[in-house]
Amino acid sequence: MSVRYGLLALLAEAPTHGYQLKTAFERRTGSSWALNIGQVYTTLQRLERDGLVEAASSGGDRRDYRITGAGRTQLEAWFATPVVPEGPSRDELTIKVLLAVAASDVDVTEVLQRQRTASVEQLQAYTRRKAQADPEKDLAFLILLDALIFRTEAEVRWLDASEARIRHVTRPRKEAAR
Amino acid sequence: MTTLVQLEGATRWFGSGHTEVVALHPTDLSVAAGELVAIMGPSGSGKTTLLSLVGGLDRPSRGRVIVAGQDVGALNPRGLAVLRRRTVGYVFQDLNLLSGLTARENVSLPLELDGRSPGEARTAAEAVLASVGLTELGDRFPDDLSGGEQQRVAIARALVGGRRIVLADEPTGALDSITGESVMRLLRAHCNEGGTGILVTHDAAHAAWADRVVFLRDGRIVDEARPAPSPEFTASASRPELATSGSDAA
Amino acid sequence: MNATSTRAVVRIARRNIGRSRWRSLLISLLVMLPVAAMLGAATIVQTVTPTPERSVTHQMGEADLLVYSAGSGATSDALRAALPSGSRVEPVRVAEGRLVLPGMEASVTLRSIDLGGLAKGMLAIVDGRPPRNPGEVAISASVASLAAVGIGDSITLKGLGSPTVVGLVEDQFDLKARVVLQDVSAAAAAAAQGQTNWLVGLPPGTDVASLDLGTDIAGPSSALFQSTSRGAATMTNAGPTPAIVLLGGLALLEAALVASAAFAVSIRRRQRELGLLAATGAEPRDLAGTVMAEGALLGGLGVLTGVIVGVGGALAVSPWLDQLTDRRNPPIGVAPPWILVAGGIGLFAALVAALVPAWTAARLPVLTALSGRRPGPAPARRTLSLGIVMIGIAIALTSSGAAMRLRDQGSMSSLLLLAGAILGTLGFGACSPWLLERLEKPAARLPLASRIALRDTARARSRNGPIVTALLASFAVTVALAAYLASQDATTAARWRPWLLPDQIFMQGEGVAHGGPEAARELGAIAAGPILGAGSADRSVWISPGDSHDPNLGIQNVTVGDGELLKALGAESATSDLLGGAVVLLAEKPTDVARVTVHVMDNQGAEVDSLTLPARVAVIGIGAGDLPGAVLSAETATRLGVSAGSSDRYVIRLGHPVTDADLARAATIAAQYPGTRADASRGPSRPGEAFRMAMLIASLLFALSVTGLAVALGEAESRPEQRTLLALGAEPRLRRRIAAARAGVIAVLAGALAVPAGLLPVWGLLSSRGAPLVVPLPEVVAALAVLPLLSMAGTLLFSRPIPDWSAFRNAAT
Repeated sequence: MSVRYGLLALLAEAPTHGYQLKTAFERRTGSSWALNIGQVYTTLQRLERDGLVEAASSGGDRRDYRITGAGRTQLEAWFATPVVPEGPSRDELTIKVLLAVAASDVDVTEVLQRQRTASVEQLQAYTRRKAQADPEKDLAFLILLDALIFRTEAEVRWLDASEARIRHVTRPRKEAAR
Repeated sequence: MTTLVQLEGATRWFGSGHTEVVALHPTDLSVAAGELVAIMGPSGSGKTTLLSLVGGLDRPSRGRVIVAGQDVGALNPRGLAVLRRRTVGYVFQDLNLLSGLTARENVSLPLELDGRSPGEARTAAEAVLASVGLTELGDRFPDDLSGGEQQRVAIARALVGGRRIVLADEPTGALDSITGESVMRLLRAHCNEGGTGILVTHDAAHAAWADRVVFLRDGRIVDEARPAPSPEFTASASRPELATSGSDAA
Repeated sequence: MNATSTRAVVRIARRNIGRSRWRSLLISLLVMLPVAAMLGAATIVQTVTPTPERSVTHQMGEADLLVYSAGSGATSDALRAALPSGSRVEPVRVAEGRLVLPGMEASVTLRSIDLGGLAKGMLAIVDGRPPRNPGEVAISASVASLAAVGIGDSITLKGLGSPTVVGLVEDQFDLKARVVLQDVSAAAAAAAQGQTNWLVGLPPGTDVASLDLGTDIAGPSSALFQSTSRGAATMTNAGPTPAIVLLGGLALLEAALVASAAFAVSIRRRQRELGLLAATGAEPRDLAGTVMAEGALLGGLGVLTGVIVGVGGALAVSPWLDQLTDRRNPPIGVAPPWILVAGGIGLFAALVAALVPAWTAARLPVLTALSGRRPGPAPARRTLSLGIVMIGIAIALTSSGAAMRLRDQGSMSSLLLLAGAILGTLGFGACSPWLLERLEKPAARLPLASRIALRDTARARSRNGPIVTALLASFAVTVALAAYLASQDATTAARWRPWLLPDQIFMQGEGVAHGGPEAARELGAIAAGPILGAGSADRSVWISPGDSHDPNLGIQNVTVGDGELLKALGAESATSDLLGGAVVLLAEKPTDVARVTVHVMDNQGAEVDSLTLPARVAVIGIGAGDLPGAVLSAETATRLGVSAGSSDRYVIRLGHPVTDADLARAATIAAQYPGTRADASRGPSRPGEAFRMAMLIASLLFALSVTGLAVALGEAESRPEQRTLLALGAEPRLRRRIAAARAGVIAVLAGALAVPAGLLPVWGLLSSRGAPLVVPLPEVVAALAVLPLLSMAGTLLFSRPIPDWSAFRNAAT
């Protein structure tokens, strides 16, 4: 989905050819997302098939594409539509924690801490990259890193909250006493 | 690498007998020069107690706390005060600054307390303010500064006079994330230049600026995090979501 | 504001009072103390001030008229003839008598009245019964103890035999009076000779004004009688009550100023809460309302306790009142109007104190309040201009008050001077925030503790303004009183003339006959002698220069003496003239008198004899006062047919200047005899000095407690700062130094402003009299230096150091 609209967005700025699209896309997304050139061409072909882009010229072996009116309409609609997650998360971590809570012979706190450490280590890695980035030149990259960091931070907070809930249930008297 | 802060079985309890509360069980921890360590844990886990031991605000009930070669437990109140003036710098969550003093005077305060000449203290304060990019705020009073500016002035004060150990207790707690980041960048820069920082926080994003994150629970260190290998952001990225959305498009 | 919000506002105020107990206690106390003092003083003054009815009863019993004789021929019969038929006439007599004791005599007041008749209530019989015949008397307790007698014993009265004591009598207006109550027959006997007064009971319905004898003392001088009617004697005077209201009001003004600072601190600490209230929809007047309600509640509490303490205090001292006032007082009674007045002023003061803080609370911008930051200090320029205007008006009031005094418009002028003094003090106080603002800049060069203190004080100037004003007011009063007293003393000193020679000791009283020679012996006097009045009970003597008969030029104070007395009086050079029959005149300056006429008078004031004698003027350099103006030799006195009278004056000449020790010994000897004392001429007396000292000490104590309060209030909001200082490794005593510097800043400012504020009204008052203003140096030095130093030292001593970390641990977690 995102690659399709990413290429459309780049073509909306100026007509260009496949390889340039690949490098521009990678630069825009802060090098976080390496595309292989075959994927770019397959996507361009699908876009052309759907009438969203068209060939601008075919000088030599390079074929430039440009966006069509229908393409612009679809792109604007895409930007205008918020991204909403569909239903409860089904990711592995959530499932693992839920199962650990239910299982009697697993130390949930241990599971949570292990995950927390891993998440924080991940955060540290992102933050290192952030610390090295140039706040002006690497703006897109920083915004991408923020996305990753805040998602991971949310995960840590979820872990903290889970632990607090579990403590509250297993030590209700002490909590009540406070 | 030089070890600047060393806890050896450091323990702190309050009260005695029936009312005894152990805030910190025997704890070992060492922090080297150039290292920024974050301490995370829920409320009441002993974070602030640990920090106040290193800061010479409190003495361990048992065990040793060695800060820049000095045994905190063996210092008398005056020695502790000298330690706080010359060796460590403390930053609280808020209300760090004396409202009757300008930003520059707040920064030069530890030097003045240590008996340096006003001129010397002023020069040093100006240098530190310049290094944290706050030169133009020097003549303002705390009530005229934003929260982030106040915290940065507080960090400048913790650094003034070439002190190497900065202790920060939730320094970003009252700030928004981007302002908080500017405070963390200051701490990071301090440690990159060979200083040492210990940071107490419950915010993972800010703790992640540290070289090490120590997890504290019920007065005990339960785990420690060090940075994962730097992510490469390839198509087969470590984040599953990225990979998924990428393959969707394919 | 509606009923519901009022209830909420009052509830919030009540909670606040409970939460900051010390501050609430302080504000209540500030109201309570003046209210209690005012009410207590008023109750006591009211109790000890006799009602007009009581004074009249004391003066004339139950009579309608008190009649005095005003010439010979004023007899009881003549009086009866002048009164409408059916009038009752009772003679009353007051005379001096001599109580004869072993080795000495004491003077007593002989009274003869019929306590069962019109004189009822003039004296009280407290034991035994009134005398019924000339052989009986009733005596007062002081006579009984002096003569060491009781009922059934007898006393000896000079010329009146030895009557038996049958009762104890009491003059309720003078418990120490030496009274001997005689039987009324003594008065009747005297009345027949025309030497008495009368009590008159008129038949009902008689118009006093229509009586022929005139109804008051200022009747026609030719009349035989003069009289005071009951109505005229019942005239009442205002008494000291306006002074109590004034002093109480001023004390409450001071209290209001200090309390206002306490309220300001309360606002500062509750700032965020006020912001939250506003954010929740409270209107500005609700915010002001919480502060005003707090003021009203605390003021009410203060008034309530003040009433209890004031009345309780008055009751507590009441058993000693009679002893203190030498008077039989009625039981203590509390006047409800006084409770209303004192309580009203107290409540008003609490509300005034809350007014400015309430206004601040109402104007607090919501966002600033929520941020917890201090709003920028109010611009001091406005209060400065207000202060200057007030000082200007004060000067105008003072000078117009002084001008009025010149034209003799007393009470109005006093009012203007007082208003000028109060306004001037407040005006100088209103300048203090501006001065604090000025001091903020140079503070940068000060050492740390003083810099922090000065900046904090300057930034909290809207709170410290009232404190400085309260301090300066108390000191201005001291400076003003001292300046006034010093100026008065200076005027007195300029007029002062010595009344004794430097080496003379003068003794006076009943015991001099024995005490005098004893002191002279003890002190090794070079000369001493009694000053015996020339004359006796029925003869007196006066001297006029030359042949003159003008009594205005005359010397009344004539003594009979010898060479030793002349020496004691410093006139030994005239000894031979005295022995040669001349009259020695003691004069301050040389005068040219060679002859004098000595007049001998009988006790009716008629001249029975006169003689012209040579005179010798002895210049002794001091004016005649208690010392005689003329000395006759015993021979001359005999030639004139007068004897030397009794003496209660005695003069001792030491030959060297009197030292304190000499005087103290003489005083000790005199004290062995009742009613006898010794004096020396010790330079101009400065009666103001003791009072000034007491006043200075009191105001220093007051100032110290106010600076202490100001420091405590300033410290109340510095808790996070102490935590920071602790973490930065400050020495714990730094906090003390900061506190001392705070006290110093406030005291220096108040002291410096108090000097002009205190001198201004006195200058006004004195310039109206054309008297020079004397600057009272001790008080000025105290205001400028002692007050600041003492405040700083006191604060340094009593303030607390930075606590250790455990005090902050809970707050930090």
